[in-house]
Amino acid sequence: MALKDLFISKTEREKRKRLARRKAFRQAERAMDTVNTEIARMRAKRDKLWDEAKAYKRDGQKLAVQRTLKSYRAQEMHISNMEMKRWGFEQILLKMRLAETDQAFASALQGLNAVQFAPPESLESTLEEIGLKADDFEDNNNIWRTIYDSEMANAEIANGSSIPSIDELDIFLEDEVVVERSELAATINQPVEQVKTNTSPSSRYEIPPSELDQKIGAGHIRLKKLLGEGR
Amino acid sequence: MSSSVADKKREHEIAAEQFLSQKDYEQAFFHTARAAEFTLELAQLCDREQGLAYIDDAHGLLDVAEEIKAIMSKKTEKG
Repeated sequence: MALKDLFISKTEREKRKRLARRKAFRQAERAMDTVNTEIARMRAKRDKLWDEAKAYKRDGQKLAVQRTLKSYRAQEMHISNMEMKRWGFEQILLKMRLAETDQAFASALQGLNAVQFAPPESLESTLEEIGLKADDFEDNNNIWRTIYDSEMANAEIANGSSIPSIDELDIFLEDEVVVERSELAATINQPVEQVKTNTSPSSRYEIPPSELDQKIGAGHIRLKKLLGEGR
Repeated sequence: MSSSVADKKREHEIAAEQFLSQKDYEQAFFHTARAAEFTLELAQLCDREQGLAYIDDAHGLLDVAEEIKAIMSKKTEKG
């Protein structure tokens, strides 16, 4: 407590304390937003590295593939660490928020008590306090919304804590490239060895769905269900 | 690097068999699922008759993958 605070009323002191607390919470929320933005940026970079690695794989540049996959994996680890820190921070923030709720309940009850026996002149300050409590309630809702959104958005990270090894990533990458090349070879009716894929999967070609396609689709659905989720 | 989907399917099948014999169920499951995925890709590249045969093959592999997953779940419950 600062020296100048000795000469202010108890009510005013409480009010200042409450405002300082709300400011601190807002600051914490802003910090969480910054971390979320940073994570999103890192994810975009990670996806770009994956595409780069795939391009190198198509060209058969083994060293470049290894180098890019290393960067990809490092990026994945940074994201994982960042997620972990954010999770811890969120938990602390939530606990602080819950503690504040307890305090708010206690103060509200005191306020009610005061209203019942208070002279009219103190009613104004009590109502003012209630107004601040309503703002606190809205802040609480915002916190919950933030936590819910971030939890939903990052369910995949929470699900699996292990990051694939470089070898496993290489298998995934090779598989993707082989599939792309073989599909394109079948479409343009050329031997696989002569085909070079340089188009994105979405822009390659469109085939009307046949009975065979539907059965293949059903197989893929069963596979995805079995795996829980796809990459 | 292998050059065809058929090669990849075979590679994953062999790996799955090896891991299964070593009772490494996690790896066996992964490679069986990948083999099934490549079998479905093969079906997409073939004509109707051959494609349907590959789809049956893929479902067979998915049955195996499901059995492996069941073993993994039992092991997790015990552990």
